Amino acid sequence: MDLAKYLSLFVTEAGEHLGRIGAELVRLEQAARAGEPLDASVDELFRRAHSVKGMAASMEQDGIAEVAHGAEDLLGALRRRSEAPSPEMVDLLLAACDAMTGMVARAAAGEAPTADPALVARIAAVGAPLQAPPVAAPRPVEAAGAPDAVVAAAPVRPVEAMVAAPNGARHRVTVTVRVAEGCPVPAVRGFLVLKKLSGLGGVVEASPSVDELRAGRIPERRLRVVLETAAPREAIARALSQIADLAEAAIADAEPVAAPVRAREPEKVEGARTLRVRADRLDHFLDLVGELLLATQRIREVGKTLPDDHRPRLEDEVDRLHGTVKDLHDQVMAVRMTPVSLATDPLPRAARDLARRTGKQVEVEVRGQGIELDRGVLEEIADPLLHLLRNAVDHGIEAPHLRLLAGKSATGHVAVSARRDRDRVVLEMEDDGKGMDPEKLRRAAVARGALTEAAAQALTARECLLLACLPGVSTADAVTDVSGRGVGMDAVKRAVEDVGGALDLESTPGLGTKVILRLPLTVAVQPVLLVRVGDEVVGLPIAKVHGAAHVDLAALETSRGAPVLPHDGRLVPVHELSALLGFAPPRGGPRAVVVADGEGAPVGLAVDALLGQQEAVLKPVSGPLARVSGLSAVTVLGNGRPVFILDVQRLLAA
Amino acid sequence: MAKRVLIVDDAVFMRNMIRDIFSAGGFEVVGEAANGLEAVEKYKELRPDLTTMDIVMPFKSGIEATREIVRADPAAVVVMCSALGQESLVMEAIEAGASDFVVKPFKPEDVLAVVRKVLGEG
Amino acid sequence: MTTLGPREVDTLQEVTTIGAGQALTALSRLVGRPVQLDVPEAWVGASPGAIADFLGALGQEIFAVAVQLDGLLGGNLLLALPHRDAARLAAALGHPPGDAWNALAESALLECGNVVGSAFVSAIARMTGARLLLGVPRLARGGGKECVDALVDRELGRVALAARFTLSAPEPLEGLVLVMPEPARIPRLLAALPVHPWTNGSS
Repeated sequence: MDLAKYLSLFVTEAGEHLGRIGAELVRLEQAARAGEPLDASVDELFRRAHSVKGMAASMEQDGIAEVAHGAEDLLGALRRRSEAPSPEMVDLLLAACDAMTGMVARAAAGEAPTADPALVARIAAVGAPLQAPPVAAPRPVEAAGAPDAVVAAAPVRPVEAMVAAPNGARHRVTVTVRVAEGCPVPAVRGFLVLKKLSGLGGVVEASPSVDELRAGRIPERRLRVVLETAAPREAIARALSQIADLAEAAIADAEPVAAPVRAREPEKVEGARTLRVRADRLDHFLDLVGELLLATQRIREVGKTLPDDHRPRLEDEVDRLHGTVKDLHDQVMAVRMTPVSLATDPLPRAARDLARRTGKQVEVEVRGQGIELDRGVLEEIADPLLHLLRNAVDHGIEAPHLRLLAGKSATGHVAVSARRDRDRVVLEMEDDGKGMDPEKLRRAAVARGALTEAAAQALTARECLLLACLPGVSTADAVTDVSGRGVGMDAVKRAVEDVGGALDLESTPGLGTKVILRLPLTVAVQPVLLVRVGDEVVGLPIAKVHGAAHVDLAALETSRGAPVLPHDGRLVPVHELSALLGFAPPRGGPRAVVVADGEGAPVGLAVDALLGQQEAVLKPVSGPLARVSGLSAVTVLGNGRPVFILDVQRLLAA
Repeated sequence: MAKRVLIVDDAVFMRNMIRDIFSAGGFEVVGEAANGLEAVEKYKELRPDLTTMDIVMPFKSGIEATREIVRADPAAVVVMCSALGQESLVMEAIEAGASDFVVKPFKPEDVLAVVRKVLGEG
Repeated sequence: MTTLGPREVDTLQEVTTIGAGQALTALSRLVGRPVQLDVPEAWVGASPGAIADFLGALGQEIFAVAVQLDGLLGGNLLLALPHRDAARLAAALGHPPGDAWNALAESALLECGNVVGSAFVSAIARMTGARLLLGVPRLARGGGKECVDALVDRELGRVALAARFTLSAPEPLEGLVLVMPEPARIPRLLAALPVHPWTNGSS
């Protein structure tokens, strides 16, 4: 068998299992601390380790299989004894998980890495005391009663006559069927049986499994299902009698379950099906849709040159076309929508590791992981999120004894939440640490030379917090290598803004800090405002534009030599965009001002004309153009003219 | 009283064949549809006791049509008509709510046996 | 009796798609009208003569033209149409049968069989690099089972790759192209085909 073609599938699936194992281990630790029941977690960990072992073995990745086997043994022993793992065991299992993740990466590169003997030995050593015969009663064996063979059709019974099992208790039955010889697709027949049985209760076990049936495998045409159901035997027998092509069907009691069932993951025949799609395929789709949009606009432009009698029909059709292409775009974007969990899943583990290294105690709670974001946006903010977490753990959360002294719990909490707010996703990370001190930030900013004393004094407390996002401004008591030398926050802010989002900070000294990210749902097509500057047309992302107005510049008040425009209750300094861009000075005549996000505060940009709003497919600039500060993207207008999209903040900073 | 059947297939000869099989078997064929769209419409209009459904059809597949029919009427009995090589499609149809299936080339008595069983007639 | 696994089925479907595609393009040129071809289905019966029996369930009279295939792919290719559709096909070729099927109408159908068979065989030959031989077309008329039995030995009539074709003009008609390979020769055919990534390891 040629394993190479299964490699990427193995890498993906093993990766998923290992990710879930890591997350579950962290959760297990938290649950253990909180005194919650652990059996379900240990069980899940055991099963996942078992899966990884099986997968690795069939891929002939013996090193990975060996480590997985060790983990499985340890978890199996814990499971049998219904014991919680010690912190040392959790550490070891996390180490095993990391080791396997690294080995899977190497396997992806074509290697067959061997297991680290020291790791394997340590896992075995830690598990050795547990291998003694378990103290708890052994699992009850399957009831040895003679199976009741149910063959041939049972007479039709009216529904009311069916009596449920005593007091409707759920009981377990083993259903075994054999598909008739004449059936050309026995696996499909087995699949049908499984689906019908799953309508009567929960499938605890199926052999062959649903995946094997889907793959067309049903050894000896036999299917065995353990079903947990409240339905009486007659109901199951009747259901089986209505399925054709079964040579044999038998129902037997499996172990009775008196106690309420723990929330296990039953193998159900899922209704929703999913596909794996390569991410770069989606990107390609998006590019094509972008091209379609541009092409539509070009057609529209051509339409404008047509004589009047033809134009309305063409415009109608182009509008219709545009509508369809936009729909297509929305669908493709919807496919790109990925749950936030992709970025938030690594956080609890990262927090745990960080906390351990700094001697603190931190718990991370994530809410709203199901909220979806464009994959492109998510990828850009995944690292910044991690960075924000590091900040929170490193600088925010205090050491346990300091927390206790301050009247807080010894364990610090970081709450990460995601929610939709109209066309934005709001991601918040809130910690209950020591908060940020606006005064310290003010002083640090002035000391850094980022702004003058006077300017610093003019800032509100809220604005001071944002100073933390200026490069080089840090009020960290000690610069640790954990979160870097104060370069973190400005990189985070930049990353967020690069995807069209906004970052905000709230903090109360002593109580904690909240970082708020407002992120757009989509990236690729953005509305832009087109303006004329001299002979050129440039664009500004609408997301960064607060407003625009026709203004007689000469009539404006000046402040410190620059004209100021009253806008939204404040005075906004107005700059000549032509000057910022290095173009020839304006010729005079009616002007307009666009108020846009500047560095920390809105600025006004004087332009020659407002040309209107347009949806644009933004393409990033590359090569030499990327080094020109202030250019963030380029788009092509309907008339084929390329237009640069400006990044105002960088333009001002240059 | 004879059970009422709706036959869905885009091939005329298949509809004819299935109609002959069911008529000879004592069923009443109350309608035919040539694609998934018609299938759903006719189902809602006729409310048959049984629907035979081809899988690959223009405008709307048999799987989609089955899904919509079962959504509208969870008690609907839909039997898929398939050929070899379509196993994964049949399983999709089962997940969408199909009650059973037959595989070409089928014998009339096989079809009737499946249908009678799934309708609970033994 | 050779059993057909999923890999064989996939490959036969693919071969039929390509071959029947060419075959019906040729028919389309002959008739001078566009012809639609459905995706071929694999009909694999458990017993000899399963295909004849299946078409026998069609309670109407059909016309069938068969050409025998020999060489790397052995078996038969059949064109089968219900009576009314056969009449329309003959009419589209310029020889409407009228009340009694005359020799001209019949020969028009035979010619279809020839054209379809030749194109099919050329396509397979191109795919495999091997020559295929085509027999003389034979016509049968009657019930579905009788026709197929008259044209194809029951022992060889267990498996068919069936593709429905339709013409929408001048009058709508529907027919079947049946590629009925001799089961015993299928392994040799598969071995001669260019290797396709998806047919490997699919079983």
